[in-house]
Parts: sequence; structure tokens; C-alpha cells
Amino acid sequence: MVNANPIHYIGILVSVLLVYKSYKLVRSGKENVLEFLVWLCFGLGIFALSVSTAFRVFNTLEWFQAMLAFLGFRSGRDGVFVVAILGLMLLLFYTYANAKSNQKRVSDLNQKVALLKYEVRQQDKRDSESRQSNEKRP
Amino acid sequence: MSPEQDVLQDHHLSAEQEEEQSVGAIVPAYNEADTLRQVVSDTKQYVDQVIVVDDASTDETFEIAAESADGVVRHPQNMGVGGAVQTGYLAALREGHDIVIQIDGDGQHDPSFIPDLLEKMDEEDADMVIGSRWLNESYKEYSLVRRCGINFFTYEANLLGGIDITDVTSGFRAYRADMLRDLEQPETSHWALEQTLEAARSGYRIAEISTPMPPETDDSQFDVGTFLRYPPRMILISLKVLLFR
Repeated sequence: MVNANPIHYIGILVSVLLVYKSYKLVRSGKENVLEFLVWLCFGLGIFALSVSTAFRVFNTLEWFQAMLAFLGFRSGRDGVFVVAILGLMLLLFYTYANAKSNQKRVSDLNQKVALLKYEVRQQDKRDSESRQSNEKRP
Repeated sequence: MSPEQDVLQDHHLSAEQEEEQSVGAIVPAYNEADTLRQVVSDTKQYVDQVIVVDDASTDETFEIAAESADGVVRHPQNMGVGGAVQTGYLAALREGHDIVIQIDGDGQHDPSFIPDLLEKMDEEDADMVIGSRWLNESYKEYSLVRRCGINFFTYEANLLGGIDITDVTSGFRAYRADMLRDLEQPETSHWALEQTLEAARSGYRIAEISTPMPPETDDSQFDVGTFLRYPPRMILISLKVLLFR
């Protein structure tokens, strides 16, 4: 039985876009395979949730709640929130660590470029002084 | 001879005593076109080499530095004062200097006190000498907010580092090159506290001299917003030094 609302179509669209964009990034070398797999899991999860609830193929939410109850969460809904928050925290940490690491790399690179240019300028200066002193000699 | 001439002669004598050691000065500068030429010219009288670190200025700072200083390091992107001083240390160490002087490009620090920094370093066999505005009356010209902030950070450095200094945030300093090689790269913000704390906890000797520092030139950097952001950052930096250094 079909019970599709706009939110289900949005879910399907978002999941397809997520997987497609992630695939494009990994193909162009801007994302590693592990990151692609993480986004793929997210995309497939959203897709499964949207399709199963829209077309009543399979009651994903009930199944998910039953799984969480099996893990020890008293209420399935609380479990969903807890797991979602934990997942988001992990994602946030991973993103933050990546951003900090990139920031440090850019700073180090900035410093190295500056020092390299400095050394080149100083060497040019020394060469020029040396040439001038040689020209003055009889 | 007038007392002023006496002082000047003492300064030059102290500089002569340090002749056997190579002294380089680094001048971190960001948009300091108005004051930089004078600072570099005055500093040149007391050191072997002046290196300006232009932190991606948008005014004429680089051109003026190139004309007046012995060397200019120019950041492609702005890194903040902590990043600029760190680049300056690296440049001075590559040039092989034994002692590195750090002096601001905005004219807040008087280069004629460089011989005093060197003399104090020699007298007390110190690894770092800080020019303090708290050992004279100039601190009274600063705003209450800024004075509270500096006092708080200084108290923290003294407490955690087991030292007894009066002005941890001063950027007018002299370092022995060996110590600079040994210290970790500080964060780009609050480098002064981190560097002082780490040096103290690593057992390096820190001394101070009295140097007047008029507040007009950089008081704008320290407003209430900055003051509110400082405590959490200070806690993080202190934890970083205490736990990981």
C-alpha cells in the first residue's frame, strides 16, 4: 500500500543526491573510500527509511525500535534519539578533527612558503652584493 | 656629561659586551607602514640583523620593510601575531643568531632598551628576558579592563610556572636561541602565555627589566569582547601546556 507524503520523496531525493555527490568526490580523489562508505551508509539508510515507510514495504521504524529494545533501551524512540545523537557527535568530532588538521597544514605551508621566499630573497641580495664588490675590484 | 648621555653610553657599552654573540631582531608587523621604518632604523643600532615578518599586510608595510630592514619574511596569508613571531624565530634561527630580540612594529616598544635586555640576560644568565610595563608607571595608562586581564594572565603564569614575573603579555623580549629551538610552536593566539609557561615549566630562566610602553598604539586590540573570550582560551592553553608539554 502506498502512503507517500512529500517528506518521503524529499528523503529519497536527499539520499540519492548524497550518494551521488559522495561518489563524484571519491572518483575525483577529493574524498577517501572510508568517507565514501560512511556517506553511502547514511544515504542508503535515509533511502531505506523513506521507501519502506512510504510504500509500507517493511516497517523500518518498528524493526529499528525492536533492535534497540534488544540492545537494552527501554523505549525504542529514546534509543533512536540516543543513537542518532551519538552518530552525529562522532560525525562532528570527525569533521572537527579534519578541519583542525587541514588548518594546521595550511598554516605550516604558509610559514614554509614565507621562509622559502625569504631565503631566496636573501640569497639574491648576497649574490648582488657579491657581484657589486667584484665589479669594484680593479 | 648629562644623565641621558650616561645612560646612552651605558647602553652602547652593554652592546659591546655582547659583541661576541650574534644578535638578531624580529619585528612582527601587520599594517604598520606608519611606524615600521622608524622602528627598524632605531633597532638596527643595537643588533646585527633586523628581520621584519610581514603578516600579509594590506598597506605598504612590505615595501617599507624591504627598503629598511635586513630581511623580510612575508606570509602569503595572515596568521596572527603568534604565527608571525613563530616565523620570525625560525628565520632568526636559520640566520644563526645566538640571541633573538622580539620587538613590535607599531612603535610601542623602545629599541633603546635592547641593550638593557641583553645586559640582564648576561647578568642573570637568563634564557628569556621580558620588558615589563609593570616595573614602571606606564601600566597606569592602560584601561582597567586591560590591566585586569594582564594581571590575571600573569598570576596564572606565576602560579602554574613557579615564576615571579609582572608582565606575561609583553611582546618585547630577548631569547637565547637554544631555548627557542627547544620550545614547541605556540598557538597563534595567546602565544605569550603559552611560551612563558612552557619555558618556565621546562626549567628555563626568565628575567624582567623595566620598559615603558605607551598604550595608545595597541589598546584597541583589547576590548571587552576580547576580555570575555580570554578565560576559556586561557584554560585550554594552560591545560595544553600542563598535560601535553
